[in-house]
Amino acid sequence: MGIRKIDLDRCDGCGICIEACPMDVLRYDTGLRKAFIKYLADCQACLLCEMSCPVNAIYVSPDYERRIPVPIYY
Amino acid sequence: MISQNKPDIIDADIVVIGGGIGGHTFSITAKEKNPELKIIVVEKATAGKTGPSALVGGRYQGFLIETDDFDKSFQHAVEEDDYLCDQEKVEDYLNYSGNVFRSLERWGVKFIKKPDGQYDRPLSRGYHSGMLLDGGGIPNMQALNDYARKIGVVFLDRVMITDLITRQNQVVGVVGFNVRDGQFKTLRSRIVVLATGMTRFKTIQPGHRNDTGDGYAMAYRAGAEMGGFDSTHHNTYGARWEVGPGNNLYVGLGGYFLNALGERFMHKYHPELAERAPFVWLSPSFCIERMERRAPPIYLDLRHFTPDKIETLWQSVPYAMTRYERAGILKNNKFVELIEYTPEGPRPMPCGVVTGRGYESKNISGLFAVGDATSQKGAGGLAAAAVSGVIAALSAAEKAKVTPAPEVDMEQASELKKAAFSPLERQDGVEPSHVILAVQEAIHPYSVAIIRHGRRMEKALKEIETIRDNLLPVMHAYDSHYLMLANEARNMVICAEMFLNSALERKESRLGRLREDYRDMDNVNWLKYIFLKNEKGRMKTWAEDVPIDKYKLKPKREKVLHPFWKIVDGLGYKNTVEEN
Ligand SMILES: Cc1cc2nc3c(=O)[nH]c(=O)nc-3n(C[C@H](O)[C@H](O)[C@H](O)COP(=O)(O)OP(=O)(O)OC[C@H]3O[C@@H](n4cnc5c(N)ncnc54)[C@H](O)[C@@H]3O)c2cc1C
Ligand code: SF4
Ligand code: SF4
Repeated sequence: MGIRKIDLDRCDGCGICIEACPMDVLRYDTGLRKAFIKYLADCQACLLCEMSCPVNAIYVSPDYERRIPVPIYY
Repeated sequence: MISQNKPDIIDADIVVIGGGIGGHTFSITAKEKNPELKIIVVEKATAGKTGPSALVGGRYQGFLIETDDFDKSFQHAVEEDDYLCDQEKVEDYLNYSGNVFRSLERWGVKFIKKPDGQYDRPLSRGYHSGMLLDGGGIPNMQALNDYARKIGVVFLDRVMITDLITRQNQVVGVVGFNVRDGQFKTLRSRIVVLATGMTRFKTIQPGHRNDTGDGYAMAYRAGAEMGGFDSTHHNTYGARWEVGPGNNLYVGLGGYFLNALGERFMHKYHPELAERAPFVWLSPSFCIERMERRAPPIYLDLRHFTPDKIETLWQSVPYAMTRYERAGILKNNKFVELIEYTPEGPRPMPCGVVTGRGYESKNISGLFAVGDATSQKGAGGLAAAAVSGVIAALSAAEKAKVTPAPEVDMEQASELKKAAFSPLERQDGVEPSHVILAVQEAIHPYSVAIIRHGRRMEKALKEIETIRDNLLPVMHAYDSHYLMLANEARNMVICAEMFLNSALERKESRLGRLREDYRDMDNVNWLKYIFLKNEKGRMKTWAEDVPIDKYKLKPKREKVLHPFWKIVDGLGYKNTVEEN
């Protein structure tokens, strides 16, 4: 669900996306000094990370990856 | 008993749990009223940036007393809840709404205006027209957050509160942990405000998955009287893509639904409002279409939207529009594809801590609940959360001044820590996401919460009890992030129990509570609220009369086939869930 990639060539490790993410999907790699995707399964495709990244390093896709049972299909 | 300051205890006059719009209007109002107060807002994500208030569909259902019709709005609010609302709170909501709206503007929130300077208030769902947040929720929640910080409200982000600390029916503090480093926190406070929003059991649609009913569950564990869990709302969203929000705008601007045969159908179920019917009417209509084998799929059709409508959507729900573009549904600024739609899983509403007119708990002193965390607030959504935050702050700020410094029993705090941290102590076990999926599988079927029957709800309750007894005790967290998920799962299990126990208690049909086995709306015997409480570890539910005699509007005291079922019968539909 959601976040597809963080372009490591672009990411300068500012950490803005990490603070923006409501679901705590993103964390900071102290070695690389960049953001990375740690808990992908919890991404809700809200786009907050992508929209707040000053260097356009993130891409989020709106397709479902996790099965969520929903009413009229169940 | 420890009352001296210890380094791991944080002291405050007021602790607010949750940094959505209710938490913000509360803390700003209390701070402006009494600048001496130390107010700490604790948020498990980032206050003002995340959570439903920031990720809304952009409609603010404000009421302006100077121009709008009080009596009509009052009547609609009461009728939308089939007379089960607190009419005094509806009245307060309408009376305060205009002032709160102006305050929001003073605090930096911007609403879209037309060229003539009037607020743009396009038609919306139901009988309401809403103002539109300029740029959607995100910049406006950010503005509120900036203002709150400027006047000295303190924010503690990435801390999940797990429990309330109480002493002789008085709240004295909270415990929680930092979701990034796992550090345990104890906050001692004269007043605690639950602004923790609702739960939709992490169903589809971006925006609400921080809200896992934590406030409901911690209040329940602490012994607060809870109410309203018998009613569930089900918004409708994209079934294949993480698209939306903006439902009210889509139908307000003329979007419509098609069934599997390509036919529009909502006018049959609600001849007056059709697609603009309230969610409590819309989602059961989708389900009847399914029972009649004309769904799934159901589609939302926006292909006829003209450029001016597309422009309004970009202005008010920009993130939703980006998602439509990415899914290939919107191309060159035109909707080119139908959007497969479904009701979402159950969202108990309006439910939460039972509070009086000042939004203080009926039985736990010093505990306030605002926004989606309180059982009654006069209306729903952003505006009601904002207004309830302001009303609560006016009395809480006074109370904080006269409440003596609280004492926290550190043994109680450490017991609460043990319960919250147990998944981290275990070496192995069940993943929280498995528990969450099991809860969803038990309560998400349309035949459990939307089209109800006692047998099916009892079966779902058994499943939830099995999850409670067999899975929760062996849940395992690898780290502090998973510990957050584990505590969310624990809270969702309690919320599912609260919903099913309350829904089973009500033996009649009403909006948000339609039963196949009790199809009458019974205003003779069931003009009642359903309450519940934790009594020595057991969930006790009971029904109490709505004090209708003291209210302005009274329904006819009769028992009649519910108007929704009357329409379904009139259409000649005979299929029941059992036959599918
Ligand atoms: C996708 C979506 C679209 C919507 N669109 C509209 C709309 O267009 N118009 C409208 O009027 N309403 C809309 N609503 C409803 C509206 O968002 C809510 O009714 C309103 O925002 C509730 O505000 P609140 O302050 O009560 O809580 P919320 O905004 O839900 O905030 C609760 C906060 O508490 C935090 N929290 C929860 N538990 C804990 C814990 N244990 N510890 C610490 N923090 C915690 C959460 O992270 C969250 O930030 C929408 C809701 C959703 C989900
Ligand atoms: S916001 Fe962008 S640049 Fe900053 S850490 Fe995230 S990905 Fe990197
Ligand atoms: S899309 Fe939302 S939930 Fe997913 S990583 Fe980005 S900010 Fe987090």
